[in-house]
Amino acid sequence: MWNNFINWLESHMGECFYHKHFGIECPGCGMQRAFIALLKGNFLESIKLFPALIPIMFMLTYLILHLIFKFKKGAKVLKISFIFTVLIIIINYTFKVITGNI
Amino acid sequence: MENNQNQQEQQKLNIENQSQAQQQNEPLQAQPYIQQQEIVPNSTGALVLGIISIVTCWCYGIIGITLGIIGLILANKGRKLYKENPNRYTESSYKNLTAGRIMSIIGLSISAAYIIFLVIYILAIVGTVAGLSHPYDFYNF
Repeated sequence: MWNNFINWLESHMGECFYHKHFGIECPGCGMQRAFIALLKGNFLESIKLFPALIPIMFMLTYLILHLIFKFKKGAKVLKISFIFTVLIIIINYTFKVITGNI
Repeated sequence: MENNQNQQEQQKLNIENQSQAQQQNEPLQAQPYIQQQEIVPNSTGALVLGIISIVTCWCYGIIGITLGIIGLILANKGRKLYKENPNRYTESSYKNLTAGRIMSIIGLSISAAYIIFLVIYILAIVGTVAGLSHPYDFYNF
């Protein structure tokens, strides 16, 4: 069942608009592959493919929890994790551009 | 919960102050009446939009810019309302609002920067392709 679900996801990956038309990867390219790798349980591969995925998932879950339970320092934690995620995405993308794996 | 507690404490304080004032036969000072505090309008919306603006960085640019602008407008509206009378709204929701505002600004600027980068990159490619003399170089490119 689980494997079927993963296979279904893998066969239904959407292609990036920019990658399709211009041949340039966008900063979010690799997210789906990383997500599937994460579902399969390969943490390292997921981090290699798209390092910002885990912080993003943490941020989204924390956002939902914060909206429900209203943590005291929720806004601050979200702000810091947001800046952290953005930094990871930028560094990852610059690295991609410089090394030519775009 | 927190607000209720605060309110109760405030009421207790008010009562104590009143009784003290009555004991000392001093004129009652006008205590600011604490209303039922409400959350700043748009605070949740700004927070969610700010976060989504960076999460949708797949193929972004367009989505990030739209969400960033909407989030920023919502946050500024809420901020204006809060600045008009800060006592009316809860502080935690104002914190949410500022966080959402900052996130929208970051998301917006990064999407814009990405679009500018993309335009430069594509122009560079087009320039190189146009500058190639032999068609074979085009395939080699």
